[in-house]
Amino acid sequence: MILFLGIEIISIPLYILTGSDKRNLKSNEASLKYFLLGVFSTGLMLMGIALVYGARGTFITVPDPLVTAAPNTLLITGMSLLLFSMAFKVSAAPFHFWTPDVYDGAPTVFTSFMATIVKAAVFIAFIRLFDDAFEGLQPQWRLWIAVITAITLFVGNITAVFQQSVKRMLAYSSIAQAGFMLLSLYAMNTEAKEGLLIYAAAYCLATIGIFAVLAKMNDYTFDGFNGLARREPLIAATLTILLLSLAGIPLTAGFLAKFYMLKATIATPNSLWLVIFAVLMAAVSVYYYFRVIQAMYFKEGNDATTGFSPFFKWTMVLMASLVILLGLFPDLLLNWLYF
Amino acid sequence: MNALIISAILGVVMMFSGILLKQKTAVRNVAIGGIIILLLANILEMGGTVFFTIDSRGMIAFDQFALLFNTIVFVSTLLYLLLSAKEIEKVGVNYADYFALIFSFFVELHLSHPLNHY
Repeated sequence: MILFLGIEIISIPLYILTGSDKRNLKSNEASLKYFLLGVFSTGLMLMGIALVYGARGTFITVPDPLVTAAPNTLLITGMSLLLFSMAFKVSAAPFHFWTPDVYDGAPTVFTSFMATIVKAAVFIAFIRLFDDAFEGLQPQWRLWIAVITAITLFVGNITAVFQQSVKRMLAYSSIAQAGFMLLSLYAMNTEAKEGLLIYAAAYCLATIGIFAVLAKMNDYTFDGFNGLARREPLIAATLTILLLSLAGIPLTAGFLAKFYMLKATIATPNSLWLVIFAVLMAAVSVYYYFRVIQAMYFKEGNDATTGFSPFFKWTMVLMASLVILLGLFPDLLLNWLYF
Repeated sequence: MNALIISAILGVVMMFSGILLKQKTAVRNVAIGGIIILLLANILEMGGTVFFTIDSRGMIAFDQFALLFNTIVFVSTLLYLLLSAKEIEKVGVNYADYFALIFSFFVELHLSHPLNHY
């Protein structure tokens, strides 16, 4: 119940933030769409909780070995509904249809918040719920998660390739990154949990930085980034590091995060196909991240930014430094887990 | 528990700052200061310093994993506000309310990943 309260009340500020640009029709539409679909997924979650309660007779998610009911249809159906509902919240395919429109319609500054911190928070709730409550049902939900992960990776990456707007590309990229994060749920071992923390840090840092630059652009298409390296070499350099991290290039936190996820997955029996598929999809993602780098360094264009203050530039340098530091020394973060 | 209580208080503070503070810069600085306080309180809790001892009958309990994740969230939000707080002010006139919504999000964040869900 606490999880339900947490997850659902998380959504309410987001509906408001999405529609905060009141005079913009796209923002209003995004907010309404997010609200309606969010309510639908809430219904699924409530139904799932009710069925799990019916099967177990308690809201306590950590099963008591003395009173735990054997897996039955009621419990498995309830768990599946909870799984689908959480998949909606983290925008995993095929429950992702709200994401591009909502991220595109919301003011860029709030899209950044929703696509990073909120998504990571829901992932942690997702993994805690399935680790605590449904660990005993792992054979039943592991196949579901494997299928959802593969579809999410495929849909997110392939659709991102065809986008002309960087903002929309980042929306699909966030779906693809969610696919990688789902690997931690699939594997559900120590490496997976450590990996999810590194992934959350790497993904949040990189995406917040990229969105911050995007919010300063007048043109959200790839062409808007043309020639940025000549005009703003420091911003272009930091942006390149952040994009390389999202693509999973070595020496960045993004590489290590993906490495942890793949390592955790490969330790799970019969999972080689999923690892190979995830690597292939990561290779596809390099294409659309490098399109931005190519536009900045190898194309000519007019200034399409509102200007960057020295403070902004140095904060970007700090973010890029953190991304490299985490890529080289992940224990700086993970040591805190065993503090 | 530190961050949960403080983020709830800061949410209310941000709502009132919209009425009491006329300058946008002041509101922004309160928000950034609030995040720094939250980050420090959470780090202290990781080290065992708990400011608020509340008997929640096991409904809300945090372990190192949850606290470390909170730290990642607060560092990310601090950087987000440093980079983008000015952009938030451009969205609308009720900018203090947007910061209040962000702080209220943290309250719910703490509820969504405690150790045991009841």
